[in-house]
Amino acid sequence: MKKSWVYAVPAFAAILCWFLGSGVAWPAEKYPSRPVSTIVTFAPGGVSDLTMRLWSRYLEKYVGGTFVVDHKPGGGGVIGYTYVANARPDGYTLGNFPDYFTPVLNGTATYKMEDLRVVAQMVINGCVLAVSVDAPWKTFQEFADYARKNPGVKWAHQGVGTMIYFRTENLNRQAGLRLIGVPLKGDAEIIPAILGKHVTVGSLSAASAKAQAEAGKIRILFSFDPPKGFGLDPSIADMASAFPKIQDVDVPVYLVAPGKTPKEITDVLEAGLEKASKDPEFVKETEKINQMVSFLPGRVVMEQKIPKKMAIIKGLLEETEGTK
Amino acid sequence: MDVIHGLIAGFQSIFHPDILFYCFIGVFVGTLVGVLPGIGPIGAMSILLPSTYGISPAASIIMLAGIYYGAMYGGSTTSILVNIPGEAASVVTCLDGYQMARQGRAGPALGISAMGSFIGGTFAIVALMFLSFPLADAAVKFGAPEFFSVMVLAMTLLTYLASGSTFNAILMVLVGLILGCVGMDPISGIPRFAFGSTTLLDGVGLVPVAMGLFGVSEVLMNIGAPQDRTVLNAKIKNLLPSRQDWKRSIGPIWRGSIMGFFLGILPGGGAVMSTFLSYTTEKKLSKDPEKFGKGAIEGVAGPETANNAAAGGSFVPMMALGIPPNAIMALLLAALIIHGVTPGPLLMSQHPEVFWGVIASMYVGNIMLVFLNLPLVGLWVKILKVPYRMLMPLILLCCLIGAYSTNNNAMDVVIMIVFGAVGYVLRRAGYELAPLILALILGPLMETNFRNSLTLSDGSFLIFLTRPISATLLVISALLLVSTGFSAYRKTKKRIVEETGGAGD
Amino acid sequence: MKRFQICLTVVWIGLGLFVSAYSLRLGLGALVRPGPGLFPFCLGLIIALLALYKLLSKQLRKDRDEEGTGGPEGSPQQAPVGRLAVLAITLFAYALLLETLGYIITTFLGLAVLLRTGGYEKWIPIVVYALIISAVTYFGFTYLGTMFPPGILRHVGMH
Repeated sequence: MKKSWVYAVPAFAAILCWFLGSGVAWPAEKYPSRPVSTIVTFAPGGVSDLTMRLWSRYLEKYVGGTFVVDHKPGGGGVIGYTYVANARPDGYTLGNFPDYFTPVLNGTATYKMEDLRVVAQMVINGCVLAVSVDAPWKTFQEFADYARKNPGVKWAHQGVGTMIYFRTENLNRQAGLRLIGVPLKGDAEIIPAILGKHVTVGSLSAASAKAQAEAGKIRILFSFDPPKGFGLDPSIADMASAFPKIQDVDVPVYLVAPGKTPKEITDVLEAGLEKASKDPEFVKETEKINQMVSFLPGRVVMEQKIPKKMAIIKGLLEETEGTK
Repeated sequence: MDVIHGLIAGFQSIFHPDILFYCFIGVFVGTLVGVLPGIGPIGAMSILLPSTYGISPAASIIMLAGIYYGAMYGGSTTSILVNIPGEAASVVTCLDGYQMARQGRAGPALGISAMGSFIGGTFAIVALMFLSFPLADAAVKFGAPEFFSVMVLAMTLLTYLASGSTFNAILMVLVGLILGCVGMDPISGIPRFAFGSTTLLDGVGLVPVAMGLFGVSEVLMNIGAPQDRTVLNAKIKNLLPSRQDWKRSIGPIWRGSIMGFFLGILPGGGAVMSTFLSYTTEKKLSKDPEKFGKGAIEGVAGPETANNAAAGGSFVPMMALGIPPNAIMALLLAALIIHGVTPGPLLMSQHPEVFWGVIASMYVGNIMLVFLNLPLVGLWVKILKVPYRMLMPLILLCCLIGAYSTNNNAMDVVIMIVFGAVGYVLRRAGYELAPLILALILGPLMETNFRNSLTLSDGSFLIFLTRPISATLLVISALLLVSTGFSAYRKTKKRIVEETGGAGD
Repeated sequence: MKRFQICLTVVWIGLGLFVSAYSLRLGLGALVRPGPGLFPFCLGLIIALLALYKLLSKQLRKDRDEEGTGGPEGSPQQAPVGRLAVLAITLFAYALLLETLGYIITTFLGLAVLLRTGGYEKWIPIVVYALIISAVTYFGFTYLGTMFPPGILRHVGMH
């Protein structure tokens, strides 16, 4: 017995020293002096993983320090949003989030809008509408005419509550297309549904659609954002040209901080992000993962974009509740 | 593209020391990951993903695919040794595998599992090479009604899984289906049975439930009923399967390969379903079905082969259409994207070295895995000899880590413990847990496809019967149910005759 | 054991009724758009009816044990409730304290209790084993990328 005790003491002491030695943050040092943790609300391996790792490299280049990606998936994003909302506002916990106001609107949020603040918008995700390659419509106009005359055409989406769903449903209602939505789980289910003609049209990410279109399996009829930004055929109809009067909601990705984070820290981050957004390497790498760089300062997003989008989505939610 | 040429080119491209090295790392990490209940293959793959930035696309895909394969092999190890399924596809292996371990036959169980996995995997690869495209086209024909019917068939099969009372198995399936309803409704987004908890919004979670129902309850059983442990301490007999074992396993293995491969193509529960389809088939075909659930080697050989064949089958939609059939494949696709390789139908023509390299590496990986796993059998078996007072906390710790690390959420650990208690109670009462957990996994698929089918058909139930694939599956399920009902009726009749005849009176 | 199983059957009936009642509130929906409550409603109903059938048929056939070849696991004698309770409480405490105290401390404490329950008598080996296992698993799994809660050791700079 005595023997093992003797070994335990120095072992314990060594471990203790190791703990204390690693990464203690002394006060009044330049930000960031410790690794910054960015929360991603999806499971590892998804696009958001790739996105944040990419941003981390450029943040480290322009802001310094180390940026680490952590995952807190679940609850439609609520778990991650709440985690950042409740984190210490010292700039060492941030979030890589899409729009986070939907849970607030439908009542499942465990945080308030004031608890989070957008540092900046960096990229947007493209969404398109596509049909099977042997479908009779070659342009969106043809399809829209058909849909209006034959109400009840089925369209596949990624689930009620996703931004892609709202975006397309918004168009559906405002353009009077009278489509009926079928919820599936992501592009991986939407593509076979289109190919196997189980649904007539699908609303999916530009990234997945592009790969299928190049192989000649599907035809992209419509792109919400300008098609050139995502490497698509410029002759594809887009929101601006086909429906200039409809208010669209886009699908951005932001860097978000807890609401009370000091302005000095978020300014540093915002400046770094702005520099990154102008870096041609960054633009190229973002294009590789099929996103489009679109920088907007945090203030613009918080004061203009988000309230407008919330109003639109709120209207949509109320309408869909009513028709259920 | 000429298949033989492609394959030869593929082999040529991978027989470089560095690529073989990455293949080995992947396979090794995969086995480790599969054995440790803590991390799943997805976690391991995403961790190693950044380290693949510097190496060629083919090499990184090969490494990641190796992890996937290795995890399949490793998952069976924990099922057999400690009755904790490494993943959903290993649940069925627990049934007879663990019983074999308790009888001192852990060696043969592990051995036949490794060999069956190898044969199933190889079969799948060969089939993959030749049948990718036609099968992918057929798979696309499966829409919501077809998936629903597949699930109905699956539920019917689940009730056969039980070695005890079928009635109790049905109750377990129902409980599993009900548990599957907990969470955000996938179609309307409304929380169901969540009672305000954010964690429950995503449902009860497969990993916490599996760890709890199997792992924690096993520990509770061992503490609560210590007599059972003596069996495990019995002498470990031979380490390898005997000739007898082989004779009995050949049939299950080749049947399992076929079932596994074809079912693996279906996204969603394909692989899991192939395991219990294999188990049920073997049970029905066997001359002594009562042996199942007590350590019948066919109950290990069949499902283990099936799940590795299914892993190969799951590459079909990915290779042919660029669509990942599950989260693991999705990660593989992401890895491809990072390296500038666009997955999709054009993969084979644009980057043949990646496509054929992966296929060739699967062969090599499979061989490496057999060489890795067979000698390890001796090691694993020794672990069983560690005194339980030390083993128990370690097992619990692995379960705790496993439950926590899926979502970094302590609530998952609470869920695990609750299910541990539930599992303990159910086992003491004579219910079996496999149908419950399998129904939990497949239930949401069944419901979503049912509701979507009705939306697609504008409310008509006929859609299930007018579409040929769906109709066939439903008819088969109905026949199976009728045959169970019939044999139960005959049993009851026999018993009534015995009672009135034998009771005298 | 018999009473225990009857109890459980009653639990199934109760569960089924509860699930069906809750589902009614969720809304059954129309045929064209089945609502979120439809599926669980049917499930609840079926399980309640089946459990009821089981209960009644067991009562009517008092001593017929229709267990098949399987059956209740474990020894028929009374379980050592004390040890089980300690185990259960330890695990619950672990889950609840994990995020506050952090992985290392909670695991250390938890392991100590478990090792003791498992049968180790002397405190010194218990402490040493618990410490080594906590530290090794912490570093091992963190290296592999799992995120563990640092808890109160956060102030000491742990990630």
